Amino acid sequence: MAITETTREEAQALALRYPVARAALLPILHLVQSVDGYVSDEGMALAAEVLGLTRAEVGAVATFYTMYKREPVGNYLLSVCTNPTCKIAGAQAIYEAYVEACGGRHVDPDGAGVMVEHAECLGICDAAPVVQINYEMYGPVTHDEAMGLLNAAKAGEPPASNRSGHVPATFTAVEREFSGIDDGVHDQLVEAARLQAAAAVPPAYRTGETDLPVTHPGGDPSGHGGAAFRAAFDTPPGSPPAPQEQEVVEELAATGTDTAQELAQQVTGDDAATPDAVLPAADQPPVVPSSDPDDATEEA
Amino acid sequence: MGTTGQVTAMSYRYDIDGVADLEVYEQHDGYEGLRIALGMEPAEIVQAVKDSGLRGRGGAGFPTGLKWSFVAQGTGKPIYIVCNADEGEPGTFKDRPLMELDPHQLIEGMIVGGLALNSEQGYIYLRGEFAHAGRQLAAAIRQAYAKGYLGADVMGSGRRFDLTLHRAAGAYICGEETALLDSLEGRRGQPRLRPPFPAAHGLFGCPTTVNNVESIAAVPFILRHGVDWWRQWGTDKSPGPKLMCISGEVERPGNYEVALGTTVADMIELAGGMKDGRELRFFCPGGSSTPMLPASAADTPYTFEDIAAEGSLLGTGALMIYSTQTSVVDTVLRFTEFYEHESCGKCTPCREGGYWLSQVLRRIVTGGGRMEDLELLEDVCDNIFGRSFCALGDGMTSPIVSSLKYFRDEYETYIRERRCPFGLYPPAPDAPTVEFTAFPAAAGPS
Ligand SMILES: Cc1cc2nc3c(=O)[nH]c(=O)nc-3n(C[C@H](O)[C@H](O)[C@H](O)COP(=O)(O)O)c2cc1C
Ligand code: SF4
Ligand code: FES
Repeated sequence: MAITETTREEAQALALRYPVARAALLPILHLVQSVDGYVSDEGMALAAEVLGLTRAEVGAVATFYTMYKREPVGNYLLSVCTNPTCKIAGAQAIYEAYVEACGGRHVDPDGAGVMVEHAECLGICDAAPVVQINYEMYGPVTHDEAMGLLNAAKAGEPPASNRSGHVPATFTAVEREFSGIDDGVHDQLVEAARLQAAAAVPPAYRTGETDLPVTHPGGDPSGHGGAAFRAAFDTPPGSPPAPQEQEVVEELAATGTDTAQELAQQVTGDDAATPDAVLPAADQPPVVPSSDPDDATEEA
Repeated sequence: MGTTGQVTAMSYRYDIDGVADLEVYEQHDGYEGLRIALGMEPAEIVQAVKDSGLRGRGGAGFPTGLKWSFVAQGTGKPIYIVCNADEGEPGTFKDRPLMELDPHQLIEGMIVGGLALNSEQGYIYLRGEFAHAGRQLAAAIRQAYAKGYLGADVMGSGRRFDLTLHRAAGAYICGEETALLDSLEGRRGQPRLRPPFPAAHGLFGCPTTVNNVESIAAVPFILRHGVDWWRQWGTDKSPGPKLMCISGEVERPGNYEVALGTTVADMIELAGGMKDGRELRFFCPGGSSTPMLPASAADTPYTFEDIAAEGSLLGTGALMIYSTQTSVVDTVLRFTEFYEHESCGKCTPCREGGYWLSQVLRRIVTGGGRMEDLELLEDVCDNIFGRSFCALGDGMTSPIVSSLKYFRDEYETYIRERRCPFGLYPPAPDAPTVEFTAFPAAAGPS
């Protein structure tokens, strides 16, 4: 399988569920993982493109989280908890036997294709020792039962979880579920996000250690925030911003910090060169100048 | 203090067949708390939560009502209520069962919280690995939208509340509330500098509260049954029932709901006593980040104040019980490796310290330790504790510092005999041959 136009459309749909598009990055990475079976370079490029981020930014996120795999998993991921409670119940031996059964490696592409990993506490310590197949829980398992699970997964026939009663779906199917794309309340969430983006002071695109709302014009190109921002400025150069926006801007200027005044100046000021430089022409996609020192280093 | 022992309060629907389904939930008092909340002013709801004395169940025990009263109102920005369902503290397993068995309870709590805070959008930040909980919540949210509990017109009141289930991707640090917000915004989960606090500048720069699953789910109960009902359990400073996670070497590890103030020893009894009649040696009262305590502290009533007086923390309610057959040092090593792995890398003491602590501990268990290593461990911990950017760094030092306080003799045995007295690792090549008497040689799984 490979990333297709459908993947792109679904990623765009996920972005619209949040008032600021970037919030959809984790769900989108689950989505691309559901297509390729791991977070491929192509998948990261798609996420970057859809959200208006650099690939470096997406890579920095994708490599931070344990559940995003950078090599193909196969159909089943087996995770063995080796935290103390599971360890003293025999989990360490299970994990070591798993690696041995995969020829000393963590992936075994033969048969259905499996990957084995040791995990930190899986939050089900009353069932120690615990093994997960594609995040479906099994426990407590004896050593033999645990080996049976591995063999069943390799044969493509994992049994139902003794906890949830569910037979684990394939890795890609489970990752699709985790993306939330099929959660069934899409329209409601898009409407909610749109309303928030249109609030008197909309959610900020860049946050962190600043108290400024929307810290750079044209931010959030693919989300509602971008749309709301563009609508507020969708007037010929030189004419004043929409009344509601004007209020926000004045309030902002009144906060007194240098950056706030500077931003307010950019928006209301007579210096037409500044807004032109950062505001997109009406029919062109907005540019995304980076004001975040982190991004600057990533792009450098 | 009120009555102690096992109670059935917040968990009372757990055994009802099919209660994850909206109709069954409605038959069992479901959305009654919400109905009551809709007849109250936001400030009245916050006041009721304050009066109940509910303290946050996510680890820090901060009073929930007080936290809600800090959320900035009238700024023109949207207000967000975020449920911390990242449950990752080793030993903790109370939020996941709640969401799997009774998901509407959490949804109802989120809506009530939304009303209290004038928030129209909630997020449930769910630990990625919780596949079944995600399935249950997604289905429950669909039902709640279909029946008008969620959406533009909550129960015909004209109030709006939307709820997004957001599945994360596996990083313990994302349980820390500001790291959670960064992660929810689509970034690496790294803690933020405070101030500004989330109450003024949280998700997307907007006023935000982050609360644990159990804290949020408690609120409809408090509204439905009243503050006195809640306060019939526990103490003045730690009122209410608590969802406990009892694990380790007990006969029946599991989820138990008890009144705060129940002693640790009574909880071990509740869980069927020590496994195979083993002898209690040490326990972690509230997860791996809370300092371990020796068996002699087992009579401590389980309240925030009493556990603190013993020098530890109540944490998340994750009581981990270990016997004389279990190596303290090896347990500490595994916990330390956990923190090393989960350090987000933002600040130096934790990022580097975790690595060095693991190295020293590993050297000790494999027979290469030196007596000076014990001071070295203490010294490194001293340089992490209070000097890290967030509480993960502090938590990393808890198992080490507390075990050195109570079980220094075990460390010394490892070092002196140049081997693991529990036989978990091959001894150093030049280790003397010894018969252990201080610790049973028969170790590991029996
Ligand atoms: C490293 C770290 C991990 C945490 N993990 C969780 C968690 O998984 N769930 C949680 O509710 N709180 C967790 N917390 C506590 C949160 O930061 C925060 O205090 C809590 O969510 C607030 O909710 P409460 O007031 O309802 O307790 C963690 C804190 C730290 C420092
Ligand atoms: S203490 Fe650890 S987890 Fe917390 S900010 Fe520093 S490096 Fe990150
Ligand atoms: S220690 Fe293994 S699930 Fe918690």
